[in-house]
Amino acid sequence: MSILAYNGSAVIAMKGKDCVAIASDLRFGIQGQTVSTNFEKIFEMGPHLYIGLPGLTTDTFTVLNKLKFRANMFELKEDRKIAPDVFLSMVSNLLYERRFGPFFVEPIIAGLKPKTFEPFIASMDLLGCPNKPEDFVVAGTASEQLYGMCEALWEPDLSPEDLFETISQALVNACDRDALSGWGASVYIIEKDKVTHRRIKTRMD
Amino acid sequence: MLNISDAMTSFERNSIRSNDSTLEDHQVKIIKAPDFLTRTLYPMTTTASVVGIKFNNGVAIAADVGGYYGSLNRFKSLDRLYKVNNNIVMTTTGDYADFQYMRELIQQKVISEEILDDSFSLKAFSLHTWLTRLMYNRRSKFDPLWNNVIVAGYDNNGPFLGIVDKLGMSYEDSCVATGMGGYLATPLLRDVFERGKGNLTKQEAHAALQKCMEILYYRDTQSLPKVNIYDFGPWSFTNCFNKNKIEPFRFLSDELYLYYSAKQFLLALLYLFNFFFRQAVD
Amino acid sequence: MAMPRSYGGLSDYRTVPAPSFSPYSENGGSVVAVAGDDFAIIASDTRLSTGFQIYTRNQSKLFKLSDKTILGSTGCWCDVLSLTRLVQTRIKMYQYDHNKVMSTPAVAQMLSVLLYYKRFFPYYVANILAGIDDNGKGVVYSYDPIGHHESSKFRAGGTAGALLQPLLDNQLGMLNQENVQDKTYTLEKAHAIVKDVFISAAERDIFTGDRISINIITKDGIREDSFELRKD
Repeated sequence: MSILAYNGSAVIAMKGKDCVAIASDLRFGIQGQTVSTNFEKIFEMGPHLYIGLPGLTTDTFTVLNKLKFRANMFELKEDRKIAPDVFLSMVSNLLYERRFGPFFVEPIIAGLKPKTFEPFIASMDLLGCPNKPEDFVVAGTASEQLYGMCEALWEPDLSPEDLFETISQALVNACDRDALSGWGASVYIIEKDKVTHRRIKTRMD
Repeated sequence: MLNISDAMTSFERNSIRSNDSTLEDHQVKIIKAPDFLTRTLYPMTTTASVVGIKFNNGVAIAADVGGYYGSLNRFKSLDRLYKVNNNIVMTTTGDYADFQYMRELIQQKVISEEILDDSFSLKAFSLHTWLTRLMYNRRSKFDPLWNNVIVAGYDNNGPFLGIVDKLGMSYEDSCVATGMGGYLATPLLRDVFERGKGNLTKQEAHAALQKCMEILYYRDTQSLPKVNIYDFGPWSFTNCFNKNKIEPFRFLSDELYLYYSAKQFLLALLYLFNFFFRQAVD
Repeated sequence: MAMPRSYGGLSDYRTVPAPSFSPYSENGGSVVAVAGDDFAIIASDTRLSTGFQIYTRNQSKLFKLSDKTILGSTGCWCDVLSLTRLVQTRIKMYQYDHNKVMSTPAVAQMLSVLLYYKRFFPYYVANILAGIDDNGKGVVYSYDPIGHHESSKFRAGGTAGALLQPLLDNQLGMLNQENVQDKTYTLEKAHAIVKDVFISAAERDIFTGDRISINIITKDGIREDSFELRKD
């Protein structure tokens, strides 16, 4: 089995009207054995910027630390917070540096652009090939299930409340059909003046 | 390396020692060596694409006459459109020897049926089903016939056009193509078929097939500009065979040629006009 | 992760790899079946393909076994053809032996036996069987390639199975939905959802598309329907 599916994960991000959402499951496992059910895969990288790092957990941490270092260096040099699109380039560059010995993570970025507060979502493969669609991005062992759910449930210009419902339904139902992800979920709704973080209860099997 | 002669002698000794009472003195018990079975692992002499299309009251298929030995153009006049009886034609892409073997099998089938003299004859649909079973049985023995087969025909149920591959995977469709034709010809044929709303004339079908074979000649290194076309329809259940050599190096149709010539001429006029106009201004 | 093979030295140029023979192929396609109280719906797409080549846009993967049983079968198409032929023949033999039509649960059990018979050279096929049982109630059975099977209210299978199944859980099973009292669904609702899930699958699965062929089984017989999908 692929090393990407060693620990199991599901991460998803969606665009709404003047808001974005990013969500992940909370399982950390080693193949079939569930080790933790309280494992966040989404990390805050700025006031309106979040990154999800599904894949091999050891690489999740390595990549996260390297990214924090680079983002901090950016802030010190530029004296401003890093924008989502710039951060995407940074992650992509980091991953492609390891083209022939990759980190086994498939990052997803969600945030609002500075000043305009325009919604931004993006995903990458483990080599850093970026993808910036208009609707939603998914990654992890449940990505097929997530595609099926999102393709039916997503619609343009969802309000923050509707976006929360949509992304939660998509994630939870997808995870229920994936043996390697689930065991609770964590959802972030990012708006101009607030970020709402909710934990969702799901079936624990 | 396996010592074959040693293996053979142990076989012979066993057969001599076995006191088989059913054998006469002069008879020798022959044991088939089980490990010496051979099977096709790759095709040898191969043949290229076949394309086929249905039209308003019939069906036509086309194939070139080449036989290839790797990249060598070994044979230049193989007539591989096999007319099974008055209403079926069958041909293959792939190993030519396996095609010849299949032709023998079908030939014997047709003869056996003709002997009955009951005025019934093999239908294209039946042959297609039979070939599907043949190919599937061979693949299940891990001893495949290395071919894609196209069966075309016409009977009381109308035109028939079907494909079987070397696994025994088969289907029917209005437009079919094998080999490189699967990538280059099917889109063209489907386009022609849909534009004609599935109701092409025989001439249109022929033209589409010829265009496909021409494009295959340009892009498929293993192909020849000499093509055989067969068609079937209700107008006769007799042979409608015609040999047709396509023009390989004419890229433009008459209409397109006229269009481009006229365009060039007008552009030249415009240029001249512009030239004199500027001179007059100066 | 497949490890990259080393390409070093002249020897690699001398050996031409022979095309190896595989008795299986992946020809794609998806099937969805839904069982209701007095009906069963089964639908398949009509695209037959391998890799990036579409063989035909008009090949239904539904096989009528009787007036109350339909089998949907996808995967290796040559195995699909052989298996469905065998099933149809065995159903005829049953009918001639016992002078009655084989019931859907009986067909379901027989199909499992036929698949397991080839346990060590399996039919590479995903099967979903839909029909109405002797009481007129809708039933759906789903299979793995070697004959394991289970009965359920709805099931998606084939190349887009993973995309479709969670959607059916959510929309028909009402899973993860709060304050739902009535978990039954009408034929019309099931029919609409089957169409919707196929539209979603055709967006993301290259092996699913062109058209869906829908069969609705009730006590009055089988009704056929068709619905166009994207053709790219």
